[in-house]
Amino acid sequence: MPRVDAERDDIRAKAWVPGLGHLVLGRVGVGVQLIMFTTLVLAVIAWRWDRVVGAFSTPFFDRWLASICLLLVVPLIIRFSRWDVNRILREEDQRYRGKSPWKVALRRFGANRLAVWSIYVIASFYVGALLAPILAPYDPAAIPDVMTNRYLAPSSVHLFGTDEFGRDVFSRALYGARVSLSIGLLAMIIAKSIGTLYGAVAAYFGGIVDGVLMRIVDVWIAFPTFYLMLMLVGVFEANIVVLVLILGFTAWPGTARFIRGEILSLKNQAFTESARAIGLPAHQIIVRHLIPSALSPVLVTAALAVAGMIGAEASLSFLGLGIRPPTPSWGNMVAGGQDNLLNAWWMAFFPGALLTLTLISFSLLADGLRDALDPKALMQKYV
Amino acid sequence: MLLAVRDLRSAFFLDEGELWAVDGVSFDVDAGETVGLVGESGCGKTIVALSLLRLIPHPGRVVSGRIMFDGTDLLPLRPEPLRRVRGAGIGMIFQEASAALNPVYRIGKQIADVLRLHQGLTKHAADRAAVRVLGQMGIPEPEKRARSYPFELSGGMKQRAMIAIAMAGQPKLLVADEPTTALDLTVQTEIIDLLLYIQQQHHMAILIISHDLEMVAGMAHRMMVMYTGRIVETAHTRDFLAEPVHPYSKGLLAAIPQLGAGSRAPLTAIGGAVPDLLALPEGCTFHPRCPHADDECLVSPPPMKSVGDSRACACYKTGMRL
Repeated sequence: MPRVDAERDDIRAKAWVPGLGHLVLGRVGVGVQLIMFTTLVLAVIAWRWDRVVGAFSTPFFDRWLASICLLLVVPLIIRFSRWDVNRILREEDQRYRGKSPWKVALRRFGANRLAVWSIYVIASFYVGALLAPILAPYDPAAIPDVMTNRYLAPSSVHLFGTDEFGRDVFSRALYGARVSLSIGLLAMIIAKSIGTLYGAVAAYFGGIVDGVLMRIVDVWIAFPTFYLMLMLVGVFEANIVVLVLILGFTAWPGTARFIRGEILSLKNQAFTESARAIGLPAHQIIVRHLIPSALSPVLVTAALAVAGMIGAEASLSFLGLGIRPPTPSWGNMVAGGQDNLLNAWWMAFFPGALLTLTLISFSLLADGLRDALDPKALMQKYV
Repeated sequence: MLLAVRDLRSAFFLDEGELWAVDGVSFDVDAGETVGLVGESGCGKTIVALSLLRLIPHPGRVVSGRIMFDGTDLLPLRPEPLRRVRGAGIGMIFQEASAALNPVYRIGKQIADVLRLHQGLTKHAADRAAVRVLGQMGIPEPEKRARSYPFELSGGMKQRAMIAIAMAGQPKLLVADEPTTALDLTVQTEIIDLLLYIQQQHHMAILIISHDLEMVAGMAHRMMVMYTGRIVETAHTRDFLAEPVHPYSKGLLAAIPQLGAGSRAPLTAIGGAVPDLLALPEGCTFHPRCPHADDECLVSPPPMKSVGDSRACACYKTGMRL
């Protein structure tokens, strides 16, 4: 049923309120989510207004970032809502746009409930970490009157209880999430980027280049990674940057080897041949034709890699070789709590539970990605 | 002379030994001319095509010979000028369009890529030009098809899209390697008509490679017959069809089934099978299957010799009336 212009303009005007346009168009799911999300953001801003504004009078970069992000979200949501409504209206116009394999994959991913929930969990953790200075009820480092405040059990005042110095475990867990989650993500990005390019170059050029590059990988893999990390952490002082670099640079060879295998099979396929036949230079063939086709399995392993990196950081911190207290990370919080497992179980339990939940979510995400990006199904005609 | 290939030899260096897929092939293609290259599967036709643009995959390579295209020898060419010949000088269309098109990019983008590469168009101009090229290839609703992904098109459409990619570089020579093999008969005819039409429009030469003798004969001015990496006969199509000289050509022509005519008669075929390229027979490689072979044929491979008006044949027995 074609819409008249006045009706379209009306819907476009409604889209200024995030979600309303979608509701009018009958996209209830997206509409309700947009409304809920917007309400949540506005509620946080209203609730912590003094902190959101107050951040700008402090010299701390992370507080500025948190406030700016939170405030920027509002126009971005409105923008997205209007853009998406316009898109839907345009598609109603029968303006044809090919069904991209990525779009197909996205739809299949959306049908996998567990995977979608894992995205929600992961996203909320990352948001919590980013907004820690705004959300945290207490200063994670402040030590109040120790004797009256330490080892308090979880309650409405201290959601996750307090530790041996009387610090709020919930606030510390929020700040700890920043360390654990950012290390996982950044190290994964470093490892996957290096590995992908390295493996692709080796596979595409083949011959001696391949031989030399892959022997380097063999040597690298032969090193026991965890002991290498222990050694490096001992040599350099462990802070977030050093940990990210160490984790990232020790993990790329596996990706390189994996990508090389993928590209080796892709480079003899006809579309690579035809890309060469039209005179495309090698670097463009690698970047635009080979890597995108090899990327979907990498995405799956990337999700697992984040989990692996977070786990590795936690192990290092648990051993006292990662992030040093008083800076909280989930790993050193668990380590700190292990002495008090019997009298204050919450000290180790909550960071441990968050850690476990994160790792499980990333695994489920990887599963969902794998099913959605199955290359055989990706090219199926009808989904 | 647009393309002059002289004594081209290409080999694959396998663990089992050297496989000479192209063993001393020479031929010419004039501007605007259509030349057909026919032969059974595995005789080296495709490797001839790939040799022209130095696209043979590892562990194969062009070993020797000369490929003069438009006045330059392509074999010693550095990668950079070679890239400009690929696509802009010599365009190529491949056997299976569904495999040759990249599944993750829209058709329009794949054409626009060539336009940007070889004609220096901006992204926007290339996108619009891509739609125009698709339209010229006889694709209905080109704007819509430009936004489609390869898997959304039919076989014939994909073939047209691939021809569009090859034509986007405005090549002087189009190498069509089995352009119709994967298509059904009616679509085959359409594709051939399309090729002939764009050839007229652009005054472009076509080297058409196929095992389908009838299809090639319907298109080409001249025919070349290939067997075990060598060209065994070249002739004008008219002469070739009237009277093939090489025993292998005779066999190929006789093997074409005639629809209706004596339909109860058994199909004729050439006895034996194409020999293993790693263990070629001594002398003339066709002698085990040749009805006229004698001791002379066992000694050394016969050279090409002229057997009349611009036709040549590699057979010791051509002097006789076979």
